[in-house]
Amino acid sequence: MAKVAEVVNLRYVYPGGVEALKSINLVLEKGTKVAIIGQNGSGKTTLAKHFNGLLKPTSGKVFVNGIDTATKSTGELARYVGYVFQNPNHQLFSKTVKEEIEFGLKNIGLKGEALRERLIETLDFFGLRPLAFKQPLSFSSGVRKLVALASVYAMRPPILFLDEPTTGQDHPGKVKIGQMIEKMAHEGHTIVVITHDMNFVSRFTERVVVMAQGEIIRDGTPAEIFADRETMEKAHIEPPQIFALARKLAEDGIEINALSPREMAAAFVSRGLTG
Amino acid sequence: MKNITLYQPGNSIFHYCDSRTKLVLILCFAVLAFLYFNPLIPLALMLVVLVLNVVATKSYALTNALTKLFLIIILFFLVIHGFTNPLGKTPAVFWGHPLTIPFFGTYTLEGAYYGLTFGFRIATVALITLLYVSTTHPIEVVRGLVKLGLPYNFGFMILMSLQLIPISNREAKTIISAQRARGLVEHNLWEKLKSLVPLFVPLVVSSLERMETMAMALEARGFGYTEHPTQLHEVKFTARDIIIIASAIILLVIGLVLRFKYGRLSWIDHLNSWGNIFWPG
Ligand SMILES: Nc1ncnc2c1ncn2[C@@H]1O[C@H](COP(=O)(O)OP(=O)(O)OP(=O)(O)O)[C@@H](O)[C@H]1O
Ligand SMILES: [Mg+2]
Repeated sequence: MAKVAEVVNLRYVYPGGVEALKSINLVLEKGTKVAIIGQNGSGKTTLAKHFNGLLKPTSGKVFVNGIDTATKSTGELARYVGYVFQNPNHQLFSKTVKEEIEFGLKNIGLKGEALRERLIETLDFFGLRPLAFKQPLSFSSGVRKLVALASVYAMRPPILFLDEPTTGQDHPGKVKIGQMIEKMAHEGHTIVVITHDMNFVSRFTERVVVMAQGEIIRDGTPAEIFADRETMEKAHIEPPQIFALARKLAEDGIEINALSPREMAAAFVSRGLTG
Repeated sequence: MKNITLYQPGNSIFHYCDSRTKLVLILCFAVLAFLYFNPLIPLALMLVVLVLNVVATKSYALTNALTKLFLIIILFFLVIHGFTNPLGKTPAVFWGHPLTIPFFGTYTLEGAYYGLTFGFRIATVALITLLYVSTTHPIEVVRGLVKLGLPYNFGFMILMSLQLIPISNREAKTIISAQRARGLVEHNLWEKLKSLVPLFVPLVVSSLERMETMAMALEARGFGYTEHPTQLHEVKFTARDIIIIASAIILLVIGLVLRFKYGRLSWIDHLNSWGNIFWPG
């Protein structure tokens, strides 16, 4: 698969002296949905901020589309790497959703017909057309999040980082974000989600990168990672309940690898474990 | 992150004494500095205050911007008054020649005397104030002022805003990052001006939201229930404070007695050489 970004021996020390990342190596592939997980302070946000140049490596390199991020400003990298911050209130400032989306588009130099087309495409993609002329801050937190996401996705960055997209969201809100992630990945964008929401990870991502104390300690599919008890303990992560159940069943000699209740039910049925 | 207040943590005698004690100190030194009209006494006072500052905050006392600024101001006064002060009558001699510049006139000894006197006076007051703010935590400043009669709610408000500064600072940084990530670039002045809107709107919105939450949280914890809440930390005078205050007041009294007995101790009318400025000849 084509690689869209690569991190080579990245080390980062904050000005205060905290060594937040120690020798990170990572390759991101086109059109994949990646989750970065790990406990508070493990370095997830620090790593993510290196992709669009918000932070520059203390040593090592980060390449995006073949460009060394140390040589470009964040504003210039915005067309390659989108970054949606946790709190949409830190981003939204316009009078209307339309203007909010246009902000990024103008920043990357779109104008005239191309701008209008992209705007409409984006509004439709997120189902925001009916709200186009409403004030973004007047919406519920779920819709604000969606507007923030739309305003970044509008620039069509090949890679899109979402920092804690599901915090403070109710179930429909999370599902909506999950669906958008699938849709964007389907369009060929690489989506990286930083999150503590393991159910969300197992449901909507296909690759999980586990971080602990500034290092990547494991990288694999959700099924592999969540079933790996040692990694879960090392990273202080509680796997989704379905994996806890699978583990209990495994102790009783029933081996089932299921990512969702439906899969598990199907496995039960196919093995004749009913009643 | 750069500290927004001038407070320097430490454990000198000035860090441990009551903030009101330091206010008394400011008052005494300010009066003393303006009591006499010659450069010698304000210079001595300024040096004493500088030493006190060094005792309290070590190298910071000399390297901070304020100290440097006041040393420059003394120099500035020396030059400006030297050329322009109307009291000037005796031309100063530089390597055998008087110095005259067009429109301003000749540099005079009286002007230099006057400029130095004022420069040292102002620097004394500024540096003793620096001693106060650099050794007193903002919280202590406000507590002291409340003890001296500042309304409690007002003091609380000041404290709250002081504590919000670092939070807002951090928030502003996040907002700048968020907008840069959306392609915001500020190459020239025009772009910088345009970028103020995407930065300020979110900052104001989130500040207002936080205020509202904070106000509710405060009320939920009983803020405003009484006009005179008990203090969380009682501030009290100790032996240390009494010694400092007593020394300062004794110094002030001596100063006042001398002033009334011998007058302003000015020798501005008897200047005839550079050395005269610091010592009557
Ligand atoms: N601006 C900063 N200055 C100094 N140290 C920082 C800064 N930001 C983060 N750190 C430190 O770097 C380490 C990694 O922080 P980071 O924010 O990347 O963790 P995280 O995995 O995103 O955590 P969380 O799950 O809480 O968001 C932590 O030890 C943190 O204290
Ligand atoms: Mg984080």
